[in-house]
Amino acid sequence: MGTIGVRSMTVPEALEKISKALGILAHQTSAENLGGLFSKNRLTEDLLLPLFKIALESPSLRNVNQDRQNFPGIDLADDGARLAVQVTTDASAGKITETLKTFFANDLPSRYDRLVIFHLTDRPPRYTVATKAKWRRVRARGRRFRFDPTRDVITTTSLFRTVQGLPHGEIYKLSDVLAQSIIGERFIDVSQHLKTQSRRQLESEKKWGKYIPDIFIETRETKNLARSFLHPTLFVHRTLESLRRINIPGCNRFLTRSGLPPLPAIRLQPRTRFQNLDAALATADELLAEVQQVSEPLKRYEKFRFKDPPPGPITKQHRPFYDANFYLLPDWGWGLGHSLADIAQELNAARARVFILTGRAGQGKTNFVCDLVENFLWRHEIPCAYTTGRRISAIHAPELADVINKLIFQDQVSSFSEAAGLLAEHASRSNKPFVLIIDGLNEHHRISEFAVQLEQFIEAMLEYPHLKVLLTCRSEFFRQRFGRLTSGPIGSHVFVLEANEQHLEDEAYEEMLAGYFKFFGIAKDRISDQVMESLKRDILLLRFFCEAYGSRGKVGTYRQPWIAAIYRDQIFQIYLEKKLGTADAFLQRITGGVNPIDPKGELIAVLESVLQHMLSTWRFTDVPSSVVPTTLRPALYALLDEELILRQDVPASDSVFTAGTDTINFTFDEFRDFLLAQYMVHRVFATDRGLFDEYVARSDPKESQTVEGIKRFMFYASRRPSNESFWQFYRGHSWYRDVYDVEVFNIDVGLLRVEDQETVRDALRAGGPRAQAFSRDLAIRWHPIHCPVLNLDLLLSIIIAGDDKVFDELVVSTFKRGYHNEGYSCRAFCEFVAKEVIPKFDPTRGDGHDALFKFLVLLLPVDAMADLNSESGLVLRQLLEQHPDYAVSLLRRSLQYAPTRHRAFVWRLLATASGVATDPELVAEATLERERSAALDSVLHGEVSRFLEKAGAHISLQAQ
Amino acid sequence: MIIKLQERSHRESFVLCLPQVVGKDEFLANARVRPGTYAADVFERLYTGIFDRSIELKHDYREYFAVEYATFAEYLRKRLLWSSDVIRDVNREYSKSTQIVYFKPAQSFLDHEYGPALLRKLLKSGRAK
Repeated sequence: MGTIGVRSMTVPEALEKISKALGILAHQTSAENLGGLFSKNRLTEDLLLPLFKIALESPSLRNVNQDRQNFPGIDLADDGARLAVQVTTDASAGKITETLKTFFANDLPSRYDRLVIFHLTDRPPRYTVATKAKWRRVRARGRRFRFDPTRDVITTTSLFRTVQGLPHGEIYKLSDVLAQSIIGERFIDVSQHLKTQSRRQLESEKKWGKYIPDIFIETRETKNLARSFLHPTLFVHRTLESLRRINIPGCNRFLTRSGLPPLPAIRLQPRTRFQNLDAALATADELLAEVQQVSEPLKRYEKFRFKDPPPGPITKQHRPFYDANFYLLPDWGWGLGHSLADIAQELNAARARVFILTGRAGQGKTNFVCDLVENFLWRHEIPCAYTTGRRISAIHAPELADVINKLIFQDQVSSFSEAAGLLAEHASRSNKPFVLIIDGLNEHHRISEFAVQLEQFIEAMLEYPHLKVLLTCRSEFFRQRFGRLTSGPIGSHVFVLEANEQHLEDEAYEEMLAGYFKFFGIAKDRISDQVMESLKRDILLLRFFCEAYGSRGKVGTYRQPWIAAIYRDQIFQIYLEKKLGTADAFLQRITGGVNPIDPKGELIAVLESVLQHMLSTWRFTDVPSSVVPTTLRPALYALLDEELILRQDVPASDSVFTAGTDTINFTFDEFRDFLLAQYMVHRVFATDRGLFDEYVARSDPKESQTVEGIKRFMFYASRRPSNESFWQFYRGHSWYRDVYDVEVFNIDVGLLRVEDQETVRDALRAGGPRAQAFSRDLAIRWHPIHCPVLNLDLLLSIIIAGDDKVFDELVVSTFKRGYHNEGYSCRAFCEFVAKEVIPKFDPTRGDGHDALFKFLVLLLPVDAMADLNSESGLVLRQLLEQHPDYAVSLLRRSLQYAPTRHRAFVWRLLATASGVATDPELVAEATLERERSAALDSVLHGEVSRFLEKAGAHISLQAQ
Repeated sequence: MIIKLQERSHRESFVLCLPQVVGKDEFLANARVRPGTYAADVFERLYTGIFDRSIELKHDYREYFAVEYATFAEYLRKRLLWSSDVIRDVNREYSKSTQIVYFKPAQSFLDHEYGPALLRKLLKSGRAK
């Protein structure tokens, strides 16, 4: 990129321009126009700072009011040159005395040796000899600070004299700055342009419900790295503090005592804040190199195995310490390595010029970016512009740079180089980078063309200091379409982060849900707990759900139905109706006509064209837009607007001689699969059975993900009573069986049949992983009223009648603790019963909890210790304490079950229950159990004997 | 005030709301260890762990996050994702504390109920006695 223009001015002309500018400034000041055209802050920041940097030879001069609002005593400072400047319009001696007092009261002589007071006037102020002598006498003990009014009180006139003595290059620079900012030659108010642009975009995001401030939950690590990228001057310092907290000296003591080489030392910088952005970035560079040096030797400790020889030669003297402590090496290496890796990430983010945040759809990228703009960039006064891939695609310009010019400066600058120069200068003055944010790269309608433009734009942008770009993109599009950004010349400037922080605390999930419900008008009291739990774990589904059932955008008489369970096909059906309504309104607006017979007919016809093409080609992306008949073009545009359902794309050309054709894709893949299934059932199956068979016989591993989606939604469709004939045909098909085991639990319980019960029962009896998977799904469906067909009772009927082998497989192995089993483990189950069920349980009410407690008894041996303590045992003790009669009856009934694994535990619990040991019937049963178990099960024999001992003690006590 | 936190990693950590900064000598005196002994070494490391290797939240908030979060409680909620109960307790101590230290101990002897009691004893400052 070129420079801002060819210079054709002479030095006298440049000096004349400077003189004129200073004259105007002084005149405006004396006319007390400061509050109008120039505020104090603008004056110091935009006009005088660049002037003083050159004239006072203070390249690191900065506006200290950026550090802290109303910094006492001074406006500008250069910590390196130890120079401070106060800008004032008050030329009185009192003002200078007051400034000196404040300067001393705040211990500023410890930081600055010289204080310049700049009077915005062209007339030199006059002070008495006594006053000047008094000022000269001002000293700070042990400091070099001196104040000489002849040298340190300056006006525009004296400043001009200084300027005249500057080298020619500096004079030209000053002339450019002052000509633009004071004289008004093409003055561009960068700050105002940026504020207007970003505010407008943020308001638009709020209006369309893409940014909902109430629902934003911070993803801590992502935001942390974004902070380092956006505000290095502040946050590199924080990283430095984090690094200081890492105990490298302690680690080195440990290594030295072990006889191993110490890690290289990191030279930690002094604690003062960075004076400017360049200093912060230089520190980030240096620190990163040092952190990498320390991290390198740690790798061998991280990978160290106990059986390995020592990682280095160990002398006889160090051997005892090494032998006693070598087992700590892997954990220690791993821990320190990870802490340093976090530091390195922050430094890398700070140094990067391009930050790319990727993530799956619906993970909250737009909310993240909007929050960043509103609550971070604006509050820190970091210059920024914010736009979206979609917005950019709506502006027609040959290059992305031109689009950005239009968006920010609205054609007030003639070229990108001029715009970039202005932005870089503005960034430099504010000591913070300028950040351009483009949210949703994948939402650009001509994505391939845009990818090339973006690459070129970033290459050009990199030529200007302090300009940064923050991009967001859906993961799958990023890899396919924008992957080139991470390689080649740009690659080393790019920081890519996959947003995958989904492990929020329960409280945070609840806050997010509450925010969504409030925004979309969802009545929480008309949703079951089960639905709430499902929605917390799937943000994209939550969005579909809220759009489908919320009152926002619906007629006033709308009343939300009771929602007992999540059925994706139902949600998508409602969502489709709603979006077709919105698209129809748009269609009427652009065509000016209404179709009274079939208002949405044309929109559906467009969808059918696309779906039909996808199935016939068995390719589910990039449908050429030419497949949509010309007569349906307005309807296509209506569907493309705001990308409600479809979005437009351009595939990469195979050759430079062929032009890419516009293509169409569905905005959400899962929604596309739903529509494909609907089309297969209602259009293909209903009209052409042969074609249907042909489709379902196709198999292409490349499209397996889509096919899985279609299978799933066809399964849901087949279970609807209105599709009975389809179900009769489809139930025998392999596609149906492929998804049956999982999806049978995801359909409306009212659509389940007796046949399903038989299928599951047979699978449980057959055993194996399939039976275990069914066991898990049945166990969590414990409530017989909410789950009348496939429920815990069905599982219990198999286990209670089965033998110990069935018990071990379906209970002990299936519900044991394990990372793969979180949520289904015995522990999770026990926690649920202890916290949610027992506190509200009333045995007299018969409210369907019996199966739950029966299962709790069967869980007694799961994850049990050798001393027969287990999670379930603890919960049953709680039940025994609170409802002893019910608990004893439950335990006694369990002794009638066919398996024996739980019995020893049951006798242990019965022995602790008061009054039970005196029951003659139970004593007789125990006597029998003792005889039976004597040769077969020593643990059971021991426990039942203990029960009988307790019974004997009771009886003998009674006899006494 | 000492608040024990149960972290997601199942490790225990503490929020130490300190009305006065405790010097190392005073800390070791509270521990009743003799200088130069192994016990003194252990408690010195504990002192360093608290005051040099842990993050001081009041400083962190004031220096880096006060512009972004209007209140200390908002900082704790959004930045550290703590529960509202913990935030309420810590926030109550904000004005009374010189330092609020978020301490993740490496020492297993601070586990369980013993930890807070020991820390309370060690962090007593002369003026507070």
